[in-house]
Amino acid sequence: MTHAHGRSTGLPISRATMAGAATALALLLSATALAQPAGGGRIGGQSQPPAGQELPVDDTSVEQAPAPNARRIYVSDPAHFAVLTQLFTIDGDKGKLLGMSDTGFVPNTVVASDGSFFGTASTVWSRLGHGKRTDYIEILDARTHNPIIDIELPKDPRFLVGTYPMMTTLTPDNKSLLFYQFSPSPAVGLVSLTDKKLVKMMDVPDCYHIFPSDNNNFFMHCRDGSMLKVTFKADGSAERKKTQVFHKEDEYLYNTPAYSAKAGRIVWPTYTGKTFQVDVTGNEAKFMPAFEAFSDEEKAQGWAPGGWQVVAYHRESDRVFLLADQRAKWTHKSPSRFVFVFEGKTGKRLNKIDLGHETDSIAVSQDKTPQLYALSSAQKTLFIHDAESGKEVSKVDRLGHSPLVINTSDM
Amino acid sequence: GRAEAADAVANPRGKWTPQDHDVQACNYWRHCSIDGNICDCSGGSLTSCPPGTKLASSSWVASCYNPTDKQSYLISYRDCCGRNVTTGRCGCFNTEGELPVYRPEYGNDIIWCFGAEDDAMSYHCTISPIVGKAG
Repeated sequence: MTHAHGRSTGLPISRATMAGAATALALLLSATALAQPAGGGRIGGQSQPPAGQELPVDDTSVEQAPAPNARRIYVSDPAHFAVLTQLFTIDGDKGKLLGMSDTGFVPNTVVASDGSFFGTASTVWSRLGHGKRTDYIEILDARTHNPIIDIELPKDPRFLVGTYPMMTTLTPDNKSLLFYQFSPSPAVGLVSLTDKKLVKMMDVPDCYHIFPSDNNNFFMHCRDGSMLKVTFKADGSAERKKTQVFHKEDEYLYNTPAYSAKAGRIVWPTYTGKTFQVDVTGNEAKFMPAFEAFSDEEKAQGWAPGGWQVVAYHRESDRVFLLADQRAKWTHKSPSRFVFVFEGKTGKRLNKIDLGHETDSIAVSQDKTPQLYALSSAQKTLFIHDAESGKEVSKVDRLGHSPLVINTSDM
Repeated sequence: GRAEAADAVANPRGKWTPQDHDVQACNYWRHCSIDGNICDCSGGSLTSCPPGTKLASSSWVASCYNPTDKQSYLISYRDCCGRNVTTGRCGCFNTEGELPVYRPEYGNDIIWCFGAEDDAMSYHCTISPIVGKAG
């Protein structure tokens, strides 16, 4: 009703149909309208009530999020494959929701390496669940959350899959976005954010995920157990080279490895907790010795990773965080209640954190005293822990329908 | 998700225990690697899509154990597409024998709508037809 009152045409109708409070409100609005020219308007953002008028008049505005820092978190809710989904911006320091962005079907989130912008690769249809399909990239300002770049992708090339973070990524200079195509044949789309267009779909063999090692090179993981290096130019012309096979056919690597572009480190657990690490600094894949997260005795007791984003890596301290629990075989996507912490270089276990809640995804902030983020889809809540002690420090609840994916920036 | 199965509420990490009497429950034996929603709950059946949706021709597969005849069967999970997801109607997330995306024939996070009429690619629900016996 207040909207109707605010319009000049709405006023007589309101007076005619409503009594008491509505009439008082209408009078107040009239008084305010009169008071502004007479009283000199607003000074310093504060309203100036006319003499004898005690009722305050609020200023109104649109908020901006504070400048992003290492504890800026983006939580994506794919909402169980709904066509309309949402992305939540969260301040980890305050445990506070800062804003929300609309996204489409199984969206992927990217965050600039300096935190200055974030974006999504998304898919919508002209009639909600059907009609003309549009795949697009939308880049938003980290403070205003307004779109600053919008690029439509021709021929609907996005791979529609439950969100795997490393299927869509930025190059370290934040000038190019790379995304994966599964059908009709494997390819990686090169999008120029400066030219605001899809440059080319670069053909690749039967390989998955995208780990950019610099602005012109990225690695992928292939079905045969090797890594693929792709070296590309600004026009999308590319050279491809495979590495040795580094894992066995029955060692199943999770869909959600951790990747630190600044460290050039891929951390990649299997269903049983054997954890492979690949160092891609200098655009060469160097395979570090794999470590076992669990002893044979622990494995016999059922200890194994489980969840969606099951692994996180803290660059400065070289620590690996693994989400795990005691579980039956083939429950590798069910949530876990514990995080095991390892020294990256040696695989030595440093800590076991009891989160105290069912957790689907974890991430860590990349500051000196990192926060450990633990997302519960069922509870629709992001729990924020101290990564060293494991103590829960705050939480943000009511995060959509089934929030599943955490993105942060190593700024 | 998986938590909707009555036996999984107590322990989401418990061993998969199939039954052969309630096709709308997440622990019905043919749903051993289903990801999404059971079509029987939204106007389809165990093997048919609801009105207005489009049946995909592609699928992922799993070998599911039937507790009644003690045989394992290959289930071809095909998606019904072109409508928004059937939120709140028999959502299930089972992963018996489910493999990572680099083994896509056993990967159930993929939207398996390829081959659906009108190029429908939004996810509505999944059917669980048998396509053969498994070893």
